[in-house]
Amino acid sequence: MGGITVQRPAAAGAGRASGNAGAASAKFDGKVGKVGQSAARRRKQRLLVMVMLGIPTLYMAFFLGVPVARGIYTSLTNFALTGPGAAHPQFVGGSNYGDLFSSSQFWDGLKASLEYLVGSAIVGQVVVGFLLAVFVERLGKMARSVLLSVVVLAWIVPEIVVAFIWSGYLSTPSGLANVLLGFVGVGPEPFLFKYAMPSLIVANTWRGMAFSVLVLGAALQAVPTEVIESARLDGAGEWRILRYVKLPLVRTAVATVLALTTLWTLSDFTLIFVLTGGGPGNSTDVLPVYTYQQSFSFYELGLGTAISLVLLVLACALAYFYMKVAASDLKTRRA
Amino acid sequence: MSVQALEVRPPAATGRPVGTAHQRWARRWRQGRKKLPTAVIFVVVFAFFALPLFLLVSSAFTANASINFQAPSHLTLSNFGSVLSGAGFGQAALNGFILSAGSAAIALVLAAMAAYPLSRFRFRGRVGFLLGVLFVTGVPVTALIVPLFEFFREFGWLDSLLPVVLLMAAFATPISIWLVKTFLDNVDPALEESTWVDGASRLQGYVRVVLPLMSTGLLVAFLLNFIAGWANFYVPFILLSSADKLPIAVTIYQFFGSYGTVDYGHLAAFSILYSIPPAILYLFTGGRFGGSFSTGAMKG
Repeated sequence: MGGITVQRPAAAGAGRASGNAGAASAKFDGKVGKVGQSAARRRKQRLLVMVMLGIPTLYMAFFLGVPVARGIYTSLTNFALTGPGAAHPQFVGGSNYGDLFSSSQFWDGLKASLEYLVGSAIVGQVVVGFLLAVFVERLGKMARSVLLSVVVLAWIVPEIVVAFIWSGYLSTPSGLANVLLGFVGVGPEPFLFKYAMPSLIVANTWRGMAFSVLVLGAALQAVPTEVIESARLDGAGEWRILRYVKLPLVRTAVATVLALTTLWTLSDFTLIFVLTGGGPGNSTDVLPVYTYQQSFSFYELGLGTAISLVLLVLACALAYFYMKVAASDLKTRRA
Repeated sequence: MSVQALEVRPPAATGRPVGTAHQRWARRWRQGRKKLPTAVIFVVVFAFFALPLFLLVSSAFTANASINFQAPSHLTLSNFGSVLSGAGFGQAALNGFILSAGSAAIALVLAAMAAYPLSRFRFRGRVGFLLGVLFVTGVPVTALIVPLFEFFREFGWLDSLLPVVLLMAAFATPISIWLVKTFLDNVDPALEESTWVDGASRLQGYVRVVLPLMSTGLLVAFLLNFIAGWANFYVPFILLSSADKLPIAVTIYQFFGSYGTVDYGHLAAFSILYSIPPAILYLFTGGRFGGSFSTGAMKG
């Protein structure tokens, strides 16, 4: 931690994130050099930086870092809430991971997680969300706010409520969805048994759509109209404008939405837990639900921790992707 | 003046229909047909999002509603009445408030601390720290819950509110740092520099001058964390167990997990009462969940 320097006002303007960087730097230009840099002062500032960053860092490290470090150790023992593993956990090396990777239930869980991820995050919220954002942009003001308010309402409702709404909506034989299907002579269908994963995907898309529509909608609106007009003058149709003009310009927003929705979807527990509980069979036993079952239904904490850590590694990969996207987004905004 | 304006206007711009009645109808039909796909998509999308919400509202106002849907014959407030008078609702609401307000407040204090050096100094490791904050923002609590459960068990913290508040604060801190730093970046450093001249320290200038200036931004950050905490089901579900400590999110589950199918109207009323605070607070944040937070996660 050698070179702490006071952020000079001139640099401050240039370094300002987002928006009004230009105006700000002009405002601060006159103040360069006002701040002195004596050795004592530098030491004091270094201390200030270390204390102000140190306290929050230690706080987070205590609650997030320590459990992870201990979790890695626990996953190498036969620790359990009941039985012999409870009193004297033994070091068992990689055997939890061996058990895990050789159990078909784990691979079922991974497959369910991937289906849920691709279906509701990538296809539902990003692809359909993008199309919906394009559609919303074309609507009149009134129609747009009517549509957006139901979409946002679905998002504001807490997750557990979403789960109860959909468990009633899709229930057999006469939940509202089946009543409506009855009007056209279809059903009743036992959605949550016969089409468990598709039902979850639809419910989660319903819940998460607002985020992608809002973020992508904002990005689409920021595309300069001159660019679109000139493409139109060159004879490009609506589809080509969308594909070759708008889409490249909102690429960063798409990547951000992709990173965050996949992250949230991968770690989603509540909706699946309440709607299907992982069933029927293991067909919707996504990793968070599988973790819960092993740890808190069967009390196999060693195994549960191992599943947790696999989930953590996958989440970290997505978090890393998100970090990269967000960092490049910041760079382009500053430029 | 208006007369003049009318006179200059070319005849075509008056909007008077041209042609016979039949031609007019034909034109309207052509224009209407062009709009038809838009209208159809609008209705389909609207119905997809509105119908489940309609089910919730309709059940809440129907006496003895079950998951077998029945169009309400007359509206009643009885479901709301029995939820509000039922034992435990007030306690659960209070617990939920303690968890979300407490964790949001602690996260905000920690964020205000970290944001200052990150915004006002250039030092080695600054960018790395910021990237680390972004990274931790993305780490989901679901992946840590089992290690956290063991951690809490070891400390004897299971089933007590304060440690859960502190934990939820730790999860809310990274995104709060990011938000507060962004707000702080937009405050002119000259404002605090003027306080140093009076002999006040940097820290005093920050606390007395800059933070009050950012109060709107700080409130938004607080509210966003409050909303996320209020909706948090999994953390209290795992780490708390006594009925008098559970927040509404878990109470709803415990209360109706087994009876929900029978007493859906009751469940719906409970759900609506539970959903009202975040909906109102969302309006206060000016819909900032979406657009301006494209960098930085919310909900989680």
